[in-house]
Amino acid sequence: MTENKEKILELKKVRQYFSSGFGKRRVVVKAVHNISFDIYKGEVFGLVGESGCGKTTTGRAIIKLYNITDGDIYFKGHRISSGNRGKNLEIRRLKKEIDEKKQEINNLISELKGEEKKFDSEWVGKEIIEAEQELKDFIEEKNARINELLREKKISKRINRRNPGIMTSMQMIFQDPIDSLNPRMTVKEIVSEGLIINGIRDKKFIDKEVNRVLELVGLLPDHANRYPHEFSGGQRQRIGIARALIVNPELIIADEPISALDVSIQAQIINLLNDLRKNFDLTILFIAHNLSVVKFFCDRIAVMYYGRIVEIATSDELFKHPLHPYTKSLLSAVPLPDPDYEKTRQRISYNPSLRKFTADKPKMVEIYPGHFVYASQNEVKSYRKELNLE
Amino acid sequence: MILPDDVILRVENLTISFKTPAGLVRAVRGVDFDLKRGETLCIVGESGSGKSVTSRAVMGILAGNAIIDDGHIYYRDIDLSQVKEQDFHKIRGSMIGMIFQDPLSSLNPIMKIGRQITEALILKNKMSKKAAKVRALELMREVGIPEPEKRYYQYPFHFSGGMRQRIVIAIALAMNPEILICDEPTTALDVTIQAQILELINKLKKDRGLSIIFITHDLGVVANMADRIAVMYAGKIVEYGKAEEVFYDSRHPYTWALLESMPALEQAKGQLNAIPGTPPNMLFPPKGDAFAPRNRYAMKIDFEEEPPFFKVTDTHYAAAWLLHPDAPHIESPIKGKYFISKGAKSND
Amino acid sequence: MNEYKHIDINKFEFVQMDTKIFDKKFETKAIGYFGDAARRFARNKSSVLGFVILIIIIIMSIIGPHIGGRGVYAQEKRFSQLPAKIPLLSKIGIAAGTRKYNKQSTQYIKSISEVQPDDPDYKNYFFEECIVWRSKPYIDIQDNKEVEVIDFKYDEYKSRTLPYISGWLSRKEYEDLLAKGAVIGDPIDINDETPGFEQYKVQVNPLKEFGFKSDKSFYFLFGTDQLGRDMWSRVWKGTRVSLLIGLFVAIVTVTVGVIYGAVSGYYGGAIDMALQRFSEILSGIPWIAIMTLVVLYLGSTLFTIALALVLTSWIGTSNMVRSQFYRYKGREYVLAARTLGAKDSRLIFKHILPNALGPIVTSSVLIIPSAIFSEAMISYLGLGISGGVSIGKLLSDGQAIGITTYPYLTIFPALIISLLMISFNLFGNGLRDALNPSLRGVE
Repeated sequence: MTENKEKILELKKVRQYFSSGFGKRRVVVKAVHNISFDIYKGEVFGLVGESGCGKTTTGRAIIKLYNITDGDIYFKGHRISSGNRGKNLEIRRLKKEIDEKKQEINNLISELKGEEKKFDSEWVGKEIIEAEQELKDFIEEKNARINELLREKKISKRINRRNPGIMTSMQMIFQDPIDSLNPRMTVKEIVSEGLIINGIRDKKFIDKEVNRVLELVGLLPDHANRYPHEFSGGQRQRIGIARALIVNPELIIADEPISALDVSIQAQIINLLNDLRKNFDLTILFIAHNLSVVKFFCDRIAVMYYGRIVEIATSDELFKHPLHPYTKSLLSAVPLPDPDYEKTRQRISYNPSLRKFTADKPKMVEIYPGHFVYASQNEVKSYRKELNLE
Repeated sequence: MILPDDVILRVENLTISFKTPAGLVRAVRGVDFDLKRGETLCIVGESGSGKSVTSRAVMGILAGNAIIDDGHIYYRDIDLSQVKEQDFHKIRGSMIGMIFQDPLSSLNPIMKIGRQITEALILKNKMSKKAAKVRALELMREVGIPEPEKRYYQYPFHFSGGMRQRIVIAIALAMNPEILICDEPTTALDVTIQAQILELINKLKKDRGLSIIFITHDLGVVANMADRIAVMYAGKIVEYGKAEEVFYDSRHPYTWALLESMPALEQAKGQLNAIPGTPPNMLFPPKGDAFAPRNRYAMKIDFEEEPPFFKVTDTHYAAAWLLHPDAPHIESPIKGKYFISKGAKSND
Repeated sequence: MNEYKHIDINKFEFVQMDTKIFDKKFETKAIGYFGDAARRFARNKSSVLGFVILIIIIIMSIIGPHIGGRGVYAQEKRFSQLPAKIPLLSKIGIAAGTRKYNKQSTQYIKSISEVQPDDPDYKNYFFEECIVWRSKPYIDIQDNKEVEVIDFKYDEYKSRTLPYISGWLSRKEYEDLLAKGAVIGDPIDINDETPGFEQYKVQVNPLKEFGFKSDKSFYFLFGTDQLGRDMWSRVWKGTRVSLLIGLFVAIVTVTVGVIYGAVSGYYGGAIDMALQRFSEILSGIPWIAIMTLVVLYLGSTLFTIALALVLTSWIGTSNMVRSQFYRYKGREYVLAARTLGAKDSRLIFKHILPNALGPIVTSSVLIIPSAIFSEAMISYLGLGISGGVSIGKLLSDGQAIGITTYPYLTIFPALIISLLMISFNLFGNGLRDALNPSLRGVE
């Protein structure tokens, strides 16, 4: 199924923390708390969750609007983002170990020195030398690791600097159609910005390209000289899509692109994205909270809850066999436009306090090929039972 | 105007326009509907359909540049469209209550919520502070706010979105109104919170015998809440009837288009049947049927004359020329096929 | 509805079953940002009024001295302290060039025919012919004595046109006067002791001496000051100087403020903290102290005054710019441009600044009247431009001489500066509303 496909985006153990304030009053918001997933070329990958779950933060971290705190992000096999928090913690830990070892050995030596009278002084001397050597070796070993980490930090600092080549392969569509377009620029200026930033100055070429993408999204060349406020929400969103398309990206991150639109307009935009995906072999990361749309449009879906991914599966599988209790509660809360169905729908609520783990820490486990759930060992057993695998 | 026993509110030919620098915007162009006792009437429409304006006219809170050109809003023995501002306060809150979309801006950020709930009680019912507080705590329990004693003295920012909306509902129901108007109260909320609030509103409706006008653009919510539905487009009602009728036996092309464009009903992955184009500019109301330019099933007559209401059953009406006896017969594109409860499979 | 109208059967044909439906073309024209702003501005009557008044004052400050003026520095003792005389208004008694006197014992009121020009008390007399109005005599106490006094209105202009006896004039001077037709009759006395260096004493007609065609054309619209300088020219020249100071201060302040505020607001973090702490400390120093120090150390030319004003107002602007940057920094279109790879400079100049422009322009326009006012204030306190003319200087001079006895010296500069301030503020307010981008297309 998806095993043979090329991986276009890989997130490994990504964390995004935001800290404000200093010292005692320092507050750290852990928006994204250790997530990992892969996106295959050509698929539509959905990221769903409710407000505050970290899905928008994830999207922005991928496109490097934030520098990730920890973990790595790979695009087409190349590392494009790297966080240093883990490395910093390890460096601190190593330094502490060195200090502790120093303390230990120094205590030993002073003890030995103190006992010099009691024992054979030659032997004591040998012991002291041995101890010092042990300390030296230990420090060397740890320092080597520290230097290695420092080198990696340097590399990741370099990686994290914005690389224009990457920027154009990956583009983003934003949520708010009003706010995502600069009210002082014409449509043409907005759409052609990608080209101009990359140094293209040929007016004719720019005009041609602008008209090409406008047509792709269903607008007329006449619209190019207008200002955003003259357009409706759906049209503005299409302008935003045109802006992303003009640089021929391979991956599009769509951050809730239809949440602010009317129902009938949402369908227009979804159709548009679908057509574009087929015609240009695009990969789309679709961030949303509207589950019906996600079910229809996405190939695979990841469900997020307070900064963690709790379940990943294909969209059919997720809706047929949701395993994680949060997923179940989310799906049961979605109203469908079917009055008889609605009268009998039972909502399941999710109570996170029932799932406190001190031992048996949960992690992402592949219950069924392609179906991952964030579960502890005990839960894995019950999930497998649910799927009739045991 | 004496209303029949089961009708608590009747809107007749309501026409509202707004004066703007660019001209007169005709937001509502002749709307008729009844609200029956103890039922929920859902008004469905997209932005620009006039649904919010209609509800605001009932509450008398239209913007300053709005004019009610024509029509009546009958409630008990009064015509609300004629009531002056200084008399309206007798009706608002104690007879008709309203809750809005954004709970954050519906609450005063610098006033403790306990005070906000008891404000009307103390001012209008002349209750003592003590009695009002007792009543407020009762209300808070009724709407499901945990630890009401503690929460009474907190500020809105201490609460989450869903909690705030519950407070708003408590305030609206403080004076025990008969009618509750809900203008998109769950649009800004997450799915699970939305479900909780909708359950709460349904429970309150049963316990208090409320009659509710519920405005939304989400057809899923409509299916959950509505007893009867009015579908609005460009300032007019295009289809009107019981919930089952409007969903399972819809007759207006706009209703079809709305239902078709929702992916929940679309079983196979492929194209959604989106409605092309955009809603009309109400500065220049179109001649004929306002939906015609975007209507796959438009006929010549749709561009010339506005269709009147055609009767489908005693309780179901639609304003579509397709229902004229001489019009060609079109099978509803969604009849039965897409509904899970009617046996459609969940997946291919 | 059971009655169905009969409809023609062919009206029931489908029109667009299978065609693709596109977005419609726009029916209105595209309007740019400034076009839109100008429209909104024009709708606000008071701002347009302010704008018009402003333009009038600016034009007058440029051409004023040349029309109806007698030159800023031409001094003529003879015409000192003339009150304002405006030809059209004088007919209804306002600005008729008269001054009120009282407590004058009648001994000094004479008729012209009674007094000879060579009377030593000539200068102290008031002439009957020039008295426009007089009250009845009444008793008043002066120097512990009871004296008889009257109040009367005296036509100053007329009195200055009375002929006078000149001092000894050289031949050249005499011939100049003759040429102007200013000599009345024959010379009263001639001193021809030294041949070739004769001296003449003549009776002079002052009007002709100074080139006035008749006493109708002898007027000073705003009067004259101590030294006989035409106030009309001085007021307009002063306005010009004040406006220039205001403009200079506005331009420099805005430039410095924008750069400082932009850097502070855009980069945030440690840079912002450092810059803000610095400007906070600076703003703690009272502006009067800075002003005084600058003027004392660098002298009081137009430039130094303007510099002092800049030093005290750039902080306000930079704070405003900084808050604008914070406001627009996180907008989605800025984020979108960043994802496209835009560099900081592009984000600042192409995305944030144009949108932040509204309040910046408004505040820079409003800096001008505040600078003018501050300059007037420090001139009033005596630290003003030395040697030059500015409104503040005029006000300070006029006030020193006497507001009640010579009101015209202060009324006209005060009127002009008040009008200037009001119209700038009206204009600035209108500008603020017009340039507010959130109002765009929302009407």
